Amino acid sequence: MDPESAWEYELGIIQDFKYLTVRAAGWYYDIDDFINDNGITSPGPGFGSNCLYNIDHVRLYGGELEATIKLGDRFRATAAYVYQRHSVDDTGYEHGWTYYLPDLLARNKVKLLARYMVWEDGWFQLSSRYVDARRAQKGGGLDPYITVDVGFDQKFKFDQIEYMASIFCNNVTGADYEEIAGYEMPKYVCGFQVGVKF
Amino acid sequence: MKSKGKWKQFWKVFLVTGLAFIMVTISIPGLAKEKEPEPIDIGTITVMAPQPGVEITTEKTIINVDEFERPGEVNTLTDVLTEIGGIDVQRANPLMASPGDEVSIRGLNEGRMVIEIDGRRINQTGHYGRYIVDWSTLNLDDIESIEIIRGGHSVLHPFAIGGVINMITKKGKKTDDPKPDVSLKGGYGRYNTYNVSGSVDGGVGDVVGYHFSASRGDTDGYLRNDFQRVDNLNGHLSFFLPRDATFTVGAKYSDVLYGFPVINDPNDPDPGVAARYDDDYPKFKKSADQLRHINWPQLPTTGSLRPEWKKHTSYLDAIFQMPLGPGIVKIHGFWTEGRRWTSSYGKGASMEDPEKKFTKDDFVDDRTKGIICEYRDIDLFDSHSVTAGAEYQELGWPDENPIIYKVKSAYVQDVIHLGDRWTLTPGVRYYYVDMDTYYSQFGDGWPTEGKEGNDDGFYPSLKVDFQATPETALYAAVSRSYRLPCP
Repeated sequence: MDPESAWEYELGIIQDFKYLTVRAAGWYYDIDDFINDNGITSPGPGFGSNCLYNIDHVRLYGGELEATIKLGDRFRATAAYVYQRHSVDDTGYEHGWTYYLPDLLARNKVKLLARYMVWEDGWFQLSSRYVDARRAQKGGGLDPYITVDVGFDQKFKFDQIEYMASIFCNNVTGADYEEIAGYEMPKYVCGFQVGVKF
Repeated sequence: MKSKGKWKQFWKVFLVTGLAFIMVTISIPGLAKEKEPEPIDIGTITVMAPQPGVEITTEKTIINVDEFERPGEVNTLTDVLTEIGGIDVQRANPLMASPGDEVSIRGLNEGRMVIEIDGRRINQTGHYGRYIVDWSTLNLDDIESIEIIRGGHSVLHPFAIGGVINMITKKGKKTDDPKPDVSLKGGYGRYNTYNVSGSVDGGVGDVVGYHFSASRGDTDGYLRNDFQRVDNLNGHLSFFLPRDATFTVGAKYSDVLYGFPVINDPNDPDPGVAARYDDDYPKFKKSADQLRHINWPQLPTTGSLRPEWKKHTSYLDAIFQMPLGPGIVKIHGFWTEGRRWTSSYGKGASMEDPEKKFTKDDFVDDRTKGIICEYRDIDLFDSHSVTAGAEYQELGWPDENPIIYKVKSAYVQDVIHLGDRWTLTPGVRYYYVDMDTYYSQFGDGWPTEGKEGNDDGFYPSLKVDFQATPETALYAAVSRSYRLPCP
C-alpha cells in the first residue's frame, strides 16, 4: 500500500457588518492514494486489517457559511451552514459491502445557537441542528433530522462567591433521529447543573 | 530506504547540536536574554465572535472553555464540538462522550485529523479496533481553550489533512497570592446521568503554579447495557525559572467503564436473543452500523457475560520554554498510554452457547511517545515571525509490536507581514516514517503489501491573507498534506 497525501485548496472571507458578521469559505481537497478500510463490513475475519486498499483519488469539496448577529447586549445568534460532497475513483475492488467514511456524513448541515438575556445574568439558550439524509455503512440510508435543545442559565454573585444554576432539555421536540445508523437517540433529555466558584 | 543512513546521521547531529546549544545558552548569564516585548504591528484583523468565549479568525476558531455556553452540560470535548459550525459529531450515546463517537471536519475524521494536547499529537495507531482517538477520555476539567484549524494548511501540526483540534491546558498561575481559585460543579439528568467535578488553580510565591482537578460522570445509558462511568484526574505544575523560563509537567488520567449496547430486537433471527427482548429499552438491531471494529452489537447477557470494556488512559507531558534571542525555545516531551480490557462476543456468537464465543478481559494496550524541539515566534527584520522545529514520535502496541510507526519530522514556517494589509505564511514540513503495519491479506486481486516500509517527503504550505478594509479579511491557502497511514 502507498501512503496517503492530499493537495488542499481553500478560499475564504470574514466580513464584519455592524450587527452582522459573516464567514464564508470554500475548499477542495484531492487526496492521493486514499487508504480505504472496509474491515468492518467485509465477510472476512472482520478485524479490519485485511481489506485496506488505496484509491487513486478521493476528492472532497464544499463550502461553509457562518453568520452571527448581535442585537444589543441581550441577543446573540449564530447560524452555520455546510455543504460538502465527495467523489471516489473506481479501483476494481468494489463489492456490495464497500463503503467510504465520507458517505456517512450529510451533504447539507445547519447549526443554530442563540442566546437571549431574559433578565440580568439570566440567559435563555437554544441550539438546533439540521442534518440532511446520508448513507448508512451497512447499506440503506438515514433520514434527515432536526433537533432542538433549550436551556436557561443564571449566574449571580454573593459575598465574593459566584454561583451558577442551569436547567436544560435536549431534543425538546421529541425528534426521532439517529446520528449513527441503528443507534436511536433519546427524546426529552432534561437535567440541571449547579456550580460555584470562589 | 535509499537515504536512511544520511537522515539518521542528520537527526543525530540535529538533536545533539540543538541540546548542546540550549544547555550552553542557559548556563551563560546574559546570553539568554528576555525576549523584547515588541510585537510586530500587523494592523487590524477582522475577528468573528459568534458566541461567548468563541473567536474565529481566518486561521482558526478559538474557544475559551470557561466562557463557552450551550443548553446542557459542557464536560467533554465533544460537548463543545457538537455546537461548532462545520464539525460533525456522530454519537453512539448523546448522554456522555463514548469511545464509539466519531468527529469529522469537512468529511474527514480523526484518522485524518490531528488531535492535540498543548500542541502535541494524541492520536494512537488505531490498531485493534480503530480507536485512534478515544473521545470518552477527553474531559475539559483542565482545559483552558480549544483551537480548531480546518484543513491542513499549518505545517506546525503533523498529519493534519482534515484539520487540527488542539486543547490548551490550565497550568497554574504565577502569583504570590496564596488563595487558589476553586470551582465545584455538579449536575443530574434523565437516564440517571450525573456528573460532579472540582478544581483548584493557583500559585505559590511566584515560583510554582498548579492546577488540579477531578471529576466523575456516570449514566445508565439510553440503549440496553449502554452504561458508562468515567473518572478523571488531572494535575499540572509549572515552575517559573529565572530568565522567564518555565518548566511544566502535566498528567491527565482517565478511567472509563463502558458497556457495549446489546441487541434488543424481538425479531432477531436468533430465537434466544428475540426471547430476551426488553420493551423498557429501544430496539437495537444486529444490523446497526459500527464505526469502530470492536463494538459490534452484542448478545443480551449480563453478569460475568456482560459485554463491556475498561480503559485506563494517561496523557503525560513535560514542557520547557524560555525566551532566547528574538524568539522562544520550547522542548516538549510527551507520552500517551492506553490500556483496555474488552469483554465481548466474537462474530458468530449465539444464545445457544453464549460462553463459547465470549472473551473476558481481552487486553490491548497502545502507546505514543515523543519529543518536540521548537524555536518559535522568531522576530526578524520587523516583518518576519519564523518558527522552526523538529519532532520525533513512536507509536505502538507495547504488548505485541512496540513500534508500529517511527516518525521523524522537521518544519519551518515564516509569517511575513507586508505592510498593514498583506500577510504571507509559507511553510514546509519534512517527514520520514518507518512503518511496521498491517498486511493486506485478502487474496488474489487485492493488495498484499504494506507490512514493513518507509516513506519520506516534503509537504509545503502557503497561505495569503489580505485585510481589504478593517471590516473585510480575505484569504487563500494551498498546501500538500500527509497522513500517517493508519486505518
